[in-house]
Amino acid sequence: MSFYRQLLSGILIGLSALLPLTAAHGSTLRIGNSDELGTLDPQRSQGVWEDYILSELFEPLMAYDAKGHLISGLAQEWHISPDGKTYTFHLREASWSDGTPITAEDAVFGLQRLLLPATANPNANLYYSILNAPEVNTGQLPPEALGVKASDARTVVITLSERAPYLLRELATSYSAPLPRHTLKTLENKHWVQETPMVVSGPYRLSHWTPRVEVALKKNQAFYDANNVHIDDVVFYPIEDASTSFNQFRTNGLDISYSDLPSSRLRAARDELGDEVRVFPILAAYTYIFNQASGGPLHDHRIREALNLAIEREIITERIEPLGQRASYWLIPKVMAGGIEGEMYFTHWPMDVRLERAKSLLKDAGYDTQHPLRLELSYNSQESHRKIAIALASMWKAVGVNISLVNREMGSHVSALMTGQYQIGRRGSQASVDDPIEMLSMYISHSPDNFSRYSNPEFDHLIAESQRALDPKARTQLLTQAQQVLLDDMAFLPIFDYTAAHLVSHRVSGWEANGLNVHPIRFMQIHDKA
Amino acid sequence: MLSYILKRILQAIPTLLIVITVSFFLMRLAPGGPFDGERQLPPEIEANLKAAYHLDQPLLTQYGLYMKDLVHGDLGPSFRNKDFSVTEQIKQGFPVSLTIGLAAIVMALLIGIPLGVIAALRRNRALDYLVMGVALGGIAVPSFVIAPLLALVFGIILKWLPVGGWPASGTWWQYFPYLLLPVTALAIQQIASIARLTRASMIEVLGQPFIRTAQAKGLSTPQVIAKHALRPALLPVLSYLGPAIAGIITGSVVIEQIFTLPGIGRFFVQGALNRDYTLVMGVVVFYAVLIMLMNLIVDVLYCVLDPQIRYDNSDDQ
Repeated sequence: MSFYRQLLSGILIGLSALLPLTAAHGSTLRIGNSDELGTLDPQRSQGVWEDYILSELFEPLMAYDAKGHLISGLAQEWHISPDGKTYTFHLREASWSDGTPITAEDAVFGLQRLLLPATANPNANLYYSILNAPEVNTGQLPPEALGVKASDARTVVITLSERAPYLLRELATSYSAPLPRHTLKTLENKHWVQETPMVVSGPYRLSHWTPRVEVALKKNQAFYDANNVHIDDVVFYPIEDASTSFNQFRTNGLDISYSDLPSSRLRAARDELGDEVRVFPILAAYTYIFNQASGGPLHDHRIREALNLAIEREIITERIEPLGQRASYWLIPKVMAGGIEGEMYFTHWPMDVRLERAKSLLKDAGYDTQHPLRLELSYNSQESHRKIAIALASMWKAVGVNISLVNREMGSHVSALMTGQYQIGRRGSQASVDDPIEMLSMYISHSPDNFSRYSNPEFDHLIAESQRALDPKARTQLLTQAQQVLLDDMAFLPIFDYTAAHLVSHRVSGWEANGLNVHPIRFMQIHDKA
Repeated sequence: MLSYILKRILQAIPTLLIVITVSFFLMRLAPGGPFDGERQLPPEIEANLKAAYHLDQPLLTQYGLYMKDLVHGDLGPSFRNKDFSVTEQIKQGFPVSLTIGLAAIVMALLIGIPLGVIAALRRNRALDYLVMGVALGGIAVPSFVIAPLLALVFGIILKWLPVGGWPASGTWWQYFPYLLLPVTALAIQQIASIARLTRASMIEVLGQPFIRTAQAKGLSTPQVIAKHALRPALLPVLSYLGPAIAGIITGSVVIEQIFTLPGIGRFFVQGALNRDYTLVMGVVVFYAVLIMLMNLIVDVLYCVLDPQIRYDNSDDQ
């Protein structure tokens, strides 16, 4: 008898363990992140997903509002000299989470460490317009030589060696944020994040991090705008599998999911979740690049033009991978600030005319049915990329080009692109600031990012001129011309402007879709249904 | 017995060395490194990074450095998860994988053995065919099909259990709902194999003369099974446990990914994809030691179960 009683109580205890599933979640925001946090050090992080967490912990000089517009961060006001080479920032009164005041020295320290060679930050070259930044970053000069100085306890002066129209946006990144000098003590300190409690400046502080399970944040009462921060607790769950994230959202396990919905689930998700599915354009482009090293078939302009003409992008965006994207005939996504216009010349041509022109170009280049063009298309292994690659191959077959498909996992694929072991290769690019310069820089001659081995002195010249432009309108003009050079050269194959497909619960307000895909939690609120 | 165990441990060392060496060089063969991303690092920065992790040295030197640290028990830093060393990450992940793996084995034994016994007793009748048919299905359907199906039925449709995840803290029974689906998905293939093995072995044992004797003495069937038939019948099951544990370990990689469990299997996959050399090597070393240890334990248990088996060669001359 007593055995059965034990068994019964065991079952009841087991069942009662199910209760937490149904408990209310109060004012805790639960977010599904697409990967595990690599490190709490904002200057050593590698991925966009890490920034969702790090941007809540460290407040930079500039910040973003919910709509992705630049607002003041730790810098309350700033002045730019008429020649555009000196920026003066006046910091607001604010303190670190341990009560120590945030000073200009902390800002100087942060930027020095960002450019320190030992930190090895992959985005350091975006700050090369700061005086001596390239030399500091390559170890030729000590960090003190950097053109960032504290002229008093709350004033930071940044001196540039050349104009940088996007500098303010660059200072809104978590890796450029001031760091607690009194905690790190030295620039080389890599273990400061392991000291608890971690000293932060942002709207949230770290409550605990259970690796691969969750990162829990708690409201930072020392934050300068803490009174307007509504949500007390935030938990990030690292969920690599997009389907699992979707399932957790549907069963009310998450309030926000940052894993992109697979396109095959989009319609079902919309039917079930309605406007909790947020699809919106972001600052990213889905493109294929051509290996234009001399000697290869893609060095020939006619081939690249034919390949571009023959692709009906709308089939991909409407039938193959429908995710609300916009078919692209350009490089810079239309949602990018600056209004860079321009498109490939055939954008509005009917398809049959395009195909005819493609075939005649290939014939001029010496290829026909007896002697067809054979090319290799490389992409990184993922279901959506595979579908698009197959679509491209079949569209090119229609003009007599034989494509063999090669897929590799991400690391090998990028390596192949870098070392030129490809002919046509998939390269998605995402901008980390709302400015065209990052994406355009990938085509500068001999740039380490230039996997295409494309080289056009006219393009390089236009980009260099744009850096020197005083007037934003003049700069936009120059960048537009630069993009048009790329488009006229058929320097790459654009497919579509990327969209993001995230899930946001109805109980969350203050989350806004924007091209930068920034969603600061301090502007959000949770509403529990009565 | 003791000398046998010592001999086995000594034999394990060269095997382990080979496993580590082959894995080390294989990993480095894959194109791409831990610091490659879609943004190319400036060459000087990349050089600095590589120097810090000794990646600029010739491969043999790197190998020597790695082995030197390994002997001191240092598995190195993780390239991708920079705030935790490899040893720390394995310490975090192992309890989770162990819990799930052990639970899966226990479940497989608790369900598989009785099923096999029932099938043996009702041999060639409807119940036998039913059990063996279902068992065959369990072996044939891969775990990465079963797992999402279980999540769909029990998590989304019935809403009885969570579809994945793991609590950061809590008392032991709070982990139970998060364990149930992954353990079941892992155990199903093993249940099937164990049931079939038990059935075959039990049929053979039941045909033995000493079973006839026991029945003649007037013992009831349950008593015959429990006291006399089970122990010898389980010997093949025991020797299957070695590969079963290896199967659970490899199966856990898929299951942990699908249910988002913070176990070693998940580190392994992410580490390989991120070219996190040290993390992957650490897991390889760990698994190798574990599997060898498990096989040794299984072989020792064999002696316990069957007094006829002894490993010392003192009788052979």
